[in-house]
Amino acid sequence: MTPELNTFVSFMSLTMIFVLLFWLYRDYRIDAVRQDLFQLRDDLFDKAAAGEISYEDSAYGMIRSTINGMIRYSHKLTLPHVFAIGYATKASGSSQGGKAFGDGLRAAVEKLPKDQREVYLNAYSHMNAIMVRHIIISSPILLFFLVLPLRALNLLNRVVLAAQAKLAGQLDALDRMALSEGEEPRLVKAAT
Amino acid sequence: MARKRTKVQREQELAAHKFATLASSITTVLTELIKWGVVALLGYYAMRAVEALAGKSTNADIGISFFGTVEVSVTVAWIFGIGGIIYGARQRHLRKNTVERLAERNRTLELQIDPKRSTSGLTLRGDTRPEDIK
Repeated sequence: MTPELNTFVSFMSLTMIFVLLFWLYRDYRIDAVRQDLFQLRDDLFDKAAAGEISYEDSAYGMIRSTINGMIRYSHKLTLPHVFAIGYATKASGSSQGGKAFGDGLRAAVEKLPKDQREVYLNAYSHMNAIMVRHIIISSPILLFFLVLPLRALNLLNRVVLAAQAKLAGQLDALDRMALSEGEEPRLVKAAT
Repeated sequence: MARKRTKVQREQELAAHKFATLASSITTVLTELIKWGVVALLGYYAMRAVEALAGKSTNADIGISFFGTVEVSVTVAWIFGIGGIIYGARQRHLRKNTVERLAERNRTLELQIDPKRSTSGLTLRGDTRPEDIK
């Protein structure tokens, strides 16, 4: 092959790699995170059906609506979006210390028996872990320079947990936004 | 929703929500611009390579002789090929996960309507049973 042909093949391959990473892989990640969130929502539903928790608990409605909001807007769960939303919420001055969602949920489960409270708090923690994991591994740049090397070293889960703690404020803002979006169809339905 | 919020809190939340939505929209526009910008740049260089192939210019004019070596073009093509295979395998895995998540619920609900419901006997993930392969 001539150098010119090699250059052409290189650029065509680079373009295809770029499309694969920034479009196809991202779409795959959106489907994958939705699958995880559906699974979490189903588990919660099954626990309520089995009588472990109640469909009438305000915490149940809160978590389910938040998961619904996450499912609906998982195409926007990217690192730049998380920082933009976290920054905007902080800048607007309504963050109440950045833990409004978590505090609201804890207040909703406060009077419940310990085992029921744990079901909700575990679901909340699991939901945030799903999101953080998705945010990290759906970024093509982090995938190359962080996820693949860490996966090789089996350290990814520890990094996800550490990131979850670091991003607590941003996640809370995201949770509140998702809850608001998840509640929207119900509120519209109730109003009509 | 039993959670009670005052009017002021609700208004504050709505304002924050609007601001966050705006920030999110701006981020979407910026990231899309960057993505399409990179595609345009790669397309431009591919086009210049076609011009070089047609004899209108040379690799030296393009200014990136690095991509003109056999080793680089073969390596990049291999990365794309392997990446495509991994992508396909992950998609298949995700589809099987979805089948597994939905199949059991479907079976339980259908059994409530028709207790004599028969089954294809496939595994929960929609695969052929190992004993049927022989």
